[in-house]
Amino acid sequence: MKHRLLSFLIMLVCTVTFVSAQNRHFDVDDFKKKKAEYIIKEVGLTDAEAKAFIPLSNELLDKRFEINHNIRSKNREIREKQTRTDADYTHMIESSFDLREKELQLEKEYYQKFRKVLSPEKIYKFQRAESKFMKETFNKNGQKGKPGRK
Amino acid sequence: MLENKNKKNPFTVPENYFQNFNAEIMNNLPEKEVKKSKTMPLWKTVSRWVAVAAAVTGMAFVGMHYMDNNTQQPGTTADYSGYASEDSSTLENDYYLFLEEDATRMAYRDAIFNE
Repeated sequence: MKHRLLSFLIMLVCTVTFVSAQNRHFDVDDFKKKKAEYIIKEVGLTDAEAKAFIPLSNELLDKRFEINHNIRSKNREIREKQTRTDADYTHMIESSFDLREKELQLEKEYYQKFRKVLSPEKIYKFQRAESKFMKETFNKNGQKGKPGRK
Repeated sequence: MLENKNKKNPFTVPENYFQNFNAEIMNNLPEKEVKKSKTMPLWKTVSRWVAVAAAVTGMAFVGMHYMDNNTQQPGTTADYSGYASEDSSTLENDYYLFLEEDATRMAYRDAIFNE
């Protein structure tokens, strides 16, 4: 009886862990908030600079995500197909070029907007700080481990 | 001592003592109790585990259904109005993957330029 109960409890714990792992949520707002705090501290933004710059930075991130998302959704549909045609493969290859081109255009466009708000030195520091934050958040410092996901 | 050389061995054994030795020992042993093992039909053993597996699976489905219905966390005000055809958990997952790829790209770039 005790042995059966223990086996049942172990299975229950494994099930709950499995289910919760499948449905972990990523809080985008929380991520943006933490990133903003980090950038303000690392770059040394004043209140006025932060008020003008952070919304622009988030806007750029959202627009980059939108481009990525559209292309990713289409590529996911193709990957889920049972049989893929040459046109499908061509689409996946060429969409990665399109993505890089559109992202670059967007970054250049927002760089012009950033220049109106921050000095070149602070823009450069922002790029370094953003890279460091992303690597730390997603454990890309060469360390193995699960990224910061809720 | 030599005078006693031709004397007969005073010790004797009964006739056929050693020939019958094994048989006598076996006959004098108590009877072995043949324990009858309890036979349980296979279906009874399997059905218990099937019941446990069914209960666990049922709980897993209920749990997953419950979590699907409670995806909107308090404080999450991300605007997904432009993605009406997709649910927020898929979008959150996509956003996460997008950011993770970005982080990988940045780490690769920094490694290349040795920063």
